[in-house]
Amino acid sequence: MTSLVAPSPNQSKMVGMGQVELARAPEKLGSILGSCVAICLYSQEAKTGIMAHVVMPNSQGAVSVPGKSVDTAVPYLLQLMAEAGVPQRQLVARIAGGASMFKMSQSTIQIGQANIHATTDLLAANRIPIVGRDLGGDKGRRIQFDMTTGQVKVEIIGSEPVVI
Amino acid sequence: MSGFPESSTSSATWRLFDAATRATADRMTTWSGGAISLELDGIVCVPMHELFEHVPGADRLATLVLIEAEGDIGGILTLLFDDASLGKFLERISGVPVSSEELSELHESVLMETGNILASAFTGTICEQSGYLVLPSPPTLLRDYALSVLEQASFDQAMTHDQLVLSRTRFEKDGETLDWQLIFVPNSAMRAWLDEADQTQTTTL
Repeated sequence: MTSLVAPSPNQSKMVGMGQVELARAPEKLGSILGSCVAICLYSQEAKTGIMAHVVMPNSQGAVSVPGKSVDTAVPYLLQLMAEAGVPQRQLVARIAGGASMFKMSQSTIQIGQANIHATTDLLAANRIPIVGRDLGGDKGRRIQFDMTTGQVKVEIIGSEPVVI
Repeated sequence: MSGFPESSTSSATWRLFDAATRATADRMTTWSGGAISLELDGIVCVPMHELFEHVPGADRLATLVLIEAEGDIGGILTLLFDDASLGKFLERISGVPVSSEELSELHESVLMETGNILASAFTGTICEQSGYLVLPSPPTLLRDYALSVLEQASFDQAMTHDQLVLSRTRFEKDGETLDWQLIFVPNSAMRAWLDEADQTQTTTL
């Protein structure tokens, strides 16, 4: 049976596939995620955060949209935060997404899992602690990143919202 | 930007999807007892971050039937309903009212069969027009945020392109547009084939 009950609507600036957005308190950023992963970096001191909506783990040298791939997005986020006056040592990460919503013959890899692994590996390599995560599964996510608190609200159909 | 200006009705891509839509419309008219028709709403080529702006209701919950067009070229065909129009459609086709909170197995079965019917017509036209063998997969029924599903449907094309091409088909009843959509996202192989067809205009289209 398919539930038809909908959660509440989102009130944030939308961050689309491959996009990167920086925001300051009291702003909020939002996104809707399937197999993609949202990488949210935040500085409590500066009340400033940045989100990348990454689509794939590896750019394979294509850099035209730096937010599209994990390997180009993470350094780009750090660069933009540095340019905004936020040092890397202040940053913590919250990440969400990486679902596998349906099977496709055209993809030989589990792209959601590949995005998750690439993201956690690269954040660890840059010594950025992951303080919250909501990853995997087979459902889409609607998220809201609050620059006042740094927290990310995650909504999944059929589940109570969680805050990471 | 590839060779896909949004309103270029003379492009090979437009003619392919227009033919596929007309074939699909014929099947839908039969399936719905003549009540519903389909019209190609547009072919868009947009930066991937703008996808949600080009699919009405993409940020809301929806009921979706997904079918993969499998073959040397292909993609994902998505039949998308909002809640209000879903109930009207199911009641029309099945003659059984929809409860307010959940779909019965009968209604889920109607949705899957609708997806099968539309997808077989759509992929059959792609076969005829392209010369490639393209077959529809079994349907998958999902209840989720429409954009999250379309995002994964777009993944294969997004691996090779920063701008996404998709076709949108609208449904009409008695001349009025309904809140249902049929969206096809070509995979990277089909996108490459379409790009080449538009550049050379030498296909059999």
